[in-house]
Amino acid sequence: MDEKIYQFWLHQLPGVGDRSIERLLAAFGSERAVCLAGEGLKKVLKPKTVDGITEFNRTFDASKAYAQMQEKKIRFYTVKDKDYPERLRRLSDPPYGIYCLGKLPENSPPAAAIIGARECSEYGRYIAGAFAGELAKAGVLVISGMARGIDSLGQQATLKQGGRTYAVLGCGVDICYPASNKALYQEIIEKDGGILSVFPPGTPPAKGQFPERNRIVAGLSDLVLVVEARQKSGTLITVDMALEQGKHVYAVPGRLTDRLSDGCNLLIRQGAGIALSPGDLLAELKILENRKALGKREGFSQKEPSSERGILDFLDYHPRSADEILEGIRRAGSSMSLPELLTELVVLCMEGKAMQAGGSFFYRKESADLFAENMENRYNEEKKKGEEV
Amino acid sequence: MFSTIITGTVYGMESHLVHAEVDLSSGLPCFVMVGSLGREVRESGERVRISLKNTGISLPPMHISVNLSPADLKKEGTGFDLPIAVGVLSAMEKLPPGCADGMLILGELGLDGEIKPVKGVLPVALNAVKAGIRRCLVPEENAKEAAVAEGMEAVGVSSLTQVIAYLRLPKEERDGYLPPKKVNIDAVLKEGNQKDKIRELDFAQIAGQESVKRAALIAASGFHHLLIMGPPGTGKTMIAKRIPTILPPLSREESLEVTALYSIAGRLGKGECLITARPFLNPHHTISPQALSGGGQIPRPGIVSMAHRGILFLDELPEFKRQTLDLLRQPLENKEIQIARSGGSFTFPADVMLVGALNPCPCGYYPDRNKCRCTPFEIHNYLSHISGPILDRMDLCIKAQKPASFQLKDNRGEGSESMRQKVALARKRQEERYRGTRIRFNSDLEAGDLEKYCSLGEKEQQMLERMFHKMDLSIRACHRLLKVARTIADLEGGERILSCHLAEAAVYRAGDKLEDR
Repeated sequence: MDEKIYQFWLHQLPGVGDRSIERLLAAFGSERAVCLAGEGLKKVLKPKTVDGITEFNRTFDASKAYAQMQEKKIRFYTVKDKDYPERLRRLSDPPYGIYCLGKLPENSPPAAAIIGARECSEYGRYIAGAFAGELAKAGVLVISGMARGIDSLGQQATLKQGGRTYAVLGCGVDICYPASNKALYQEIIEKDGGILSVFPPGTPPAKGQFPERNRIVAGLSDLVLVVEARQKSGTLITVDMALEQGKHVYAVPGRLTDRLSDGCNLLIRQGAGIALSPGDLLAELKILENRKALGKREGFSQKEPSSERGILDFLDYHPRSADEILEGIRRAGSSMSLPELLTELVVLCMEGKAMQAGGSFFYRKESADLFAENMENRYNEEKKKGEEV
Repeated sequence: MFSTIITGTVYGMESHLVHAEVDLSSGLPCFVMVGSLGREVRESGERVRISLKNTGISLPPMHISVNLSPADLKKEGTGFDLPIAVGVLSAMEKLPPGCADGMLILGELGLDGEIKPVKGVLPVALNAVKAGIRRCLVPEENAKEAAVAEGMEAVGVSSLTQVIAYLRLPKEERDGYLPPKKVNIDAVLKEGNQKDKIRELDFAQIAGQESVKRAALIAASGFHHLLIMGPPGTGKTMIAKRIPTILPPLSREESLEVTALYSIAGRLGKGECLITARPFLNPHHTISPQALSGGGQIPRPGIVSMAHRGILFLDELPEFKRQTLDLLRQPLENKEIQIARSGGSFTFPADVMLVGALNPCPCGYYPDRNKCRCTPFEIHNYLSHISGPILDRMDLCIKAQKPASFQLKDNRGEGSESMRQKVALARKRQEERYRGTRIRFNSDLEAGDLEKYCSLGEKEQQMLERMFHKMDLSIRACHRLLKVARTIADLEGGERILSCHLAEAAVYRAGDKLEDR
């Protein structure tokens, strides 16, 4: 039998984790030897585990299962493989095996994880998209967990900009979890990305598997960007793992009143990098030697007609009700009526400068590109001023 | 030894005249009643016999037969007591022959001969007028109600003794004994409207929430269905309860329609002869489907019909059973509700303005992510209690929000008085425009009418075209938008629909996309 099938078999054994595999390989030398050892396994493993393995072997046909898996185009890599991701190999305890549907992330381009809350705010949606889009354009691989909210939004934006993205799941790679991301799941595979997991195909998602998933997300990335996270959040587990692995952690700052930004703000206090613009991350990833390069694009002007500017100024990236906007405008001394304001807002929506969030709620909307460029310009100006002083 | 008395009954929504025929013949003494009688009608014999006895008249030991004709019409209600008693009396020749000819008689008897009020007097009286009957004897409490039927001289009576005395008098002396009740409908309506104005509810009691109030104003002007969405405690219910204060008053015909309905349901107040205020019904979400639509073996009008020409307010919309809500699909579309039972098919009017209030998610605070941690799945589940077809019929949808600051006194918004004037103006424009058609309000416009009444200039047409593409509207959404824009134009006092009216109407669409952020 092929060596690969022994490896596959070893990885399927019940009650045998990465650490046991390491011990078994140290004792027996090779997977094949482990397989032939039979009762001899009791030297290394607990008798109960060995009984379990014997029971398992009675029904499990490794070559058949492996063939079936290959039919589904799922590939299996172990640390011994040349193709095994270098970033994982460098971890202090690399996972023994990893399953992949689609492609594995390449070793050379920089990779960033974009992670955050599942139930995110409008702001988070926007920021995740803007950052991911810019990173994708610069050729950065975007790693995430394909969870609802920030994770999937970042990955969607990456695909939209023609970038490559990789999703690490907490279940078998043949299971799309959450099921609502079916379209994204397909698209990632189709567009040269990959679905990865350290759990054998068919494994259903379970709570205990997600920390390991998070470890792989951090492990596959050079940098971790947290967009929105509550103070107690699964996202912060990924951050802890990333810090343990010595990865850079960046957080997007938020308002002090937003509970969804607490996690990010606390990370910043603890010394995480402050992600004010995608350029910050690109600089960290050493793509941009000169940050100013990004801001210098032709055919772009920040100026907008003044009357629209007026109402736009009262809009926020969070949805605000027409009443609130009107209050702001009136406080600024205008005597605009509600119907007039609503009319103007709808016109802005049709021009793509604002969005209606149901009912009379509106928020500002710039295309992600424009937003990123704006941000870059703003900070470059500040920087220039600083240099001049 | 035989007599016929004219009386009437209501079957579903239709009223019928009924002849109570009484015959006395020799044979074994007994009291027999025939003619498809309901339970309470069958019991009527007992009440008649005892009340006659207690009035001092004992029945002769003869075979007394009573037939209520037409015999195949199912009879219900307690109004047959008095006509049967009068019939028996004239068959006994205790009353002069022909004394009750051409007279409609209705009333329930107590065992002591007292006459008690009955349901459905107005519709029967209206029907009787059509049949050429000009005078009726009805319970004192119902006299004014019967008098509302034009051309009907309604005489109120309170005891059997009084009825006997009245009928024994020659016809010319009767008015001197018991004069018929007179009701001036227009005066009653006017008085009612005056009274309505001094209601305690007023829009001025609501601080802020300008956009919700604006939506309520538009909805009231065009009789559009309105959906208010928002977190708990933002005044959704408060606003809904104040919408009746700005609605245009009931017209004469509308008032008669509504009063007839209330009369059938037995919901007219004591001594009330005409409903002058638009109904406002606010059923609890545990309401059964039958209570909402109307039901029973012989169906009675349900809540949706009781709200006819008025407001049906459903608070906490997703808490209603989906099955219950879906019953509203037909009435919202056809403005009437049809109930088919083994006894026949019944149609009740149900032209209501539906006002719904709901929270945006199970916890109520979405999209405020500081408080709300509902998952998209939970939100979807919650909102999917309201079926698409219902949402599709909501013309205006607005979100209420917690005001930025709490002001007890200052910054009072517009009050009901000034809003009512605006609504009245818009109503007048609609009346003028739709004179001679079936249309009453802009919300009654059908797709075919839009071209005629909502024509757009070139610029506006382009704007609508752009909206259609940019906002991903459906054709139906476009129609709805046009109707609302028509109302906004009416409110602003313009005959032409302008771009700004279209734009504002577009803000309120969104009923079909509740879950969008």
